[in-house]
Amino acid sequence: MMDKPSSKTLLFAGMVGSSLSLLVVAAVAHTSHLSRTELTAEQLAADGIVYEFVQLAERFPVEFNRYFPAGATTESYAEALRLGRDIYVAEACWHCHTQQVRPIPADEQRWGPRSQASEYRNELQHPIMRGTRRVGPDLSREGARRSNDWHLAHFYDATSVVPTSVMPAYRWFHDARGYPNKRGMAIITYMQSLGSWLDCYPNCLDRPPSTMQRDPSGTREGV
Amino acid sequence: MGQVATSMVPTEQGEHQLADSLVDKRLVLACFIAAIAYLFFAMLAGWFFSFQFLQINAFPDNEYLSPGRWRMVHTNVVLYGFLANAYLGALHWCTPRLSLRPVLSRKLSWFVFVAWQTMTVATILALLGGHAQAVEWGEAPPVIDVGNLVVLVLVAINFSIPILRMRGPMYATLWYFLIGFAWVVPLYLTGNLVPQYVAGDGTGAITKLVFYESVQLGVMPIACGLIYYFVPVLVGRPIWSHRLAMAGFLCLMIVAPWGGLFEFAHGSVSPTLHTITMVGMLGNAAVAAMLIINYVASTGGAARSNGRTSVARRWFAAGMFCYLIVCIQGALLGSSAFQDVVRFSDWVVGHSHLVMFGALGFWMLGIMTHLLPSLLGARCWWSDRLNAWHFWLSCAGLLIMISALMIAGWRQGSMWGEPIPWASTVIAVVSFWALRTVAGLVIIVAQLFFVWNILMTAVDQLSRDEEPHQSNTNHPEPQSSYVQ
Ligand code: HEC
Repeated sequence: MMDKPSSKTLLFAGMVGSSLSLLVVAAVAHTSHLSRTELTAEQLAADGIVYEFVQLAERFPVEFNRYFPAGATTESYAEALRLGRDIYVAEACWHCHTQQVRPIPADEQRWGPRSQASEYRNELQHPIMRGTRRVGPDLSREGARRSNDWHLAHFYDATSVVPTSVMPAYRWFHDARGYPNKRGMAIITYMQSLGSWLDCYPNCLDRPPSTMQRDPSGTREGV
Repeated sequence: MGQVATSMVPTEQGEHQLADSLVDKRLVLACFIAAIAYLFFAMLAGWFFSFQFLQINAFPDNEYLSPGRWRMVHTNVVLYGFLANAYLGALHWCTPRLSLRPVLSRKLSWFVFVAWQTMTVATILALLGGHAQAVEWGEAPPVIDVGNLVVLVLVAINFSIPILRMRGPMYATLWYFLIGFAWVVPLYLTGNLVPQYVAGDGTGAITKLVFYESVQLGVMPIACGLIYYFVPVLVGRPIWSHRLAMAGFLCLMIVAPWGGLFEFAHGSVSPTLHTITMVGMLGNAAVAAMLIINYVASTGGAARSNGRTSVARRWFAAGMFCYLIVCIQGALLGSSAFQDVVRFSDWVVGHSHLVMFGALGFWMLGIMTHLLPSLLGARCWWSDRLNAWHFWLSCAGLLIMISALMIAGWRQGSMWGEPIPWASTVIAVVSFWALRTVAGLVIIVAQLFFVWNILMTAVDQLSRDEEPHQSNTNHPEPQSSYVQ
């Protein structure tokens, strides 16, 4: 049945078949998604600094200036976002948290408007932070839901704020005094930025934005 | 066809001298030992992570012992440490036997072996050191990806060239291997580097696509090839239908890849796209069905006719059963109503364990159980009873683990839609997580039995070698009679 020429033909047919299918698949992927332009972290930052970043600078001025000598500028903010994203990847946060509100009622009721493709069209989504599993809640609308101090305590020991939490402790985000170190400031900033691009930001479930969390000078528009 | 069925059927009888000159047994042994060591390590890593779910974290101050980082070590070591090494060993065992030529270069084989272990250790260190990439199953940072890629190219060359130089009919296994070698490199490249450098909202779909294709065209073909080689060897008669195996091969190559469009078809209105995707998914199901049918038809009745069922064959049977369940689950996951509940939940984690340990892992352990005594120079295992314990405890542990995870996942998914705090959905499944940790312990203990048995078989053999005149009289009755 399979002498030499027909073996080669078979192999050839197989390779052509699978290559063709993958090429078409890639073409579909390209036309439907990849051909759009993307924002860099700087462009995202230029859209507005979340107030919590400024607040970190006010609350921990000495430390903040050591980590971000330029102060709470757009450049520092972009740097913090990038570092925060890297930490989010390195600490496997994305294996316990998603960043995708699926278009189903269960998700939309819990976290707000469903995720749009455009939300992923930026540098911080290399690779995409959609996540793999939800042990903790979705974080794509986490910005301004909690205060910086809440996050600081939560990263030090999650059970101190949520007694039944199974989230690990991240004490290396803190310095010897329990203040956030550079990593701590970056991950908190990253958390506070999530969803800040939405019209309905801050997306607080049954929780009106507290005055403390809103910047009176209007760094970011409130609801 | 007739020629294939008689002359190309893998047998290990009467071909010893030939095979010995073709196969580097020490290399096969080295691969298997590495695989088992990594398996054990990976399981401990997963077990360590599981305690976090019970609010137990012994090292909250040490970032290198952070549960999250060990979670990534767990899956990466399972894939690159255990599965890849087991594949490498098994490939080195059967490819030369089927092509009747050695690998392109034995030196290259050893180089690949050492390089692969180096890359795997580097992956572990990078992950623990806080350098990762957000690609599931490929968390190693891009620098390591490049190294892995080079090694994979070498593997593909080392095995494919002798196969391509072959004259005459080729047994199904080699066809499957060829497709695996041809695809593993481009898929690894796109899977790891495209999401990092091209990205955008498309990468979600691309990552899923490459993941699907990597399983279809990289992992599964090698596994299928190994099954078509080892099942006939284990049951001592040819595969039921070589034609069916070849049909499976063609279907895998030409029809199944289209199923990768699944993720794009989801949000799309194009009926053509939907149809193509459906055909691809059906092709995928057909490949699985052909494998399972061929397996059942090949082994049916053989167990009884051989008097006893060997543990190696049991591993294959259990693995095949898990694979069947995996396929059914895969079909369920194709329905969006089902996805809405289980997506992102522990159900998926249970599913992954069934694939990686239940199907692929069991098959690899079957191959090792079959080959290790002869690789160690022994006639049979030190203890068949320990092997049985290894098998049954692994099955029991896996059964408990996936049941716990799947029930937990279903509960989570259903509760997420209820107006209750997130923390309540977490507490609701803690008892299942506790069960999962216990199950993990059972599986780890099972592997200890295996390791112990290997050590004792080796030690036993060494002492026998020292006193050759006693060896004949003291030798226990060979219980694993097929290990000749
Ligand atoms: C083992 C899984 C796990 C890992 C890893 C994990 N988390 Fe969590 N996380 C949880 C759970 C469970 C909760 C819910 C209970 C709580 O609030 O602590 C949670 C809650 C949170 C919350 C509070 C959300 C809210 O508004 O209620 C934030 C923010 C968060 N995690 C961020 C992170 C970050 C950042 C990382 C990585 C540095 C991380 N998590 C890693 C499990 C995890």
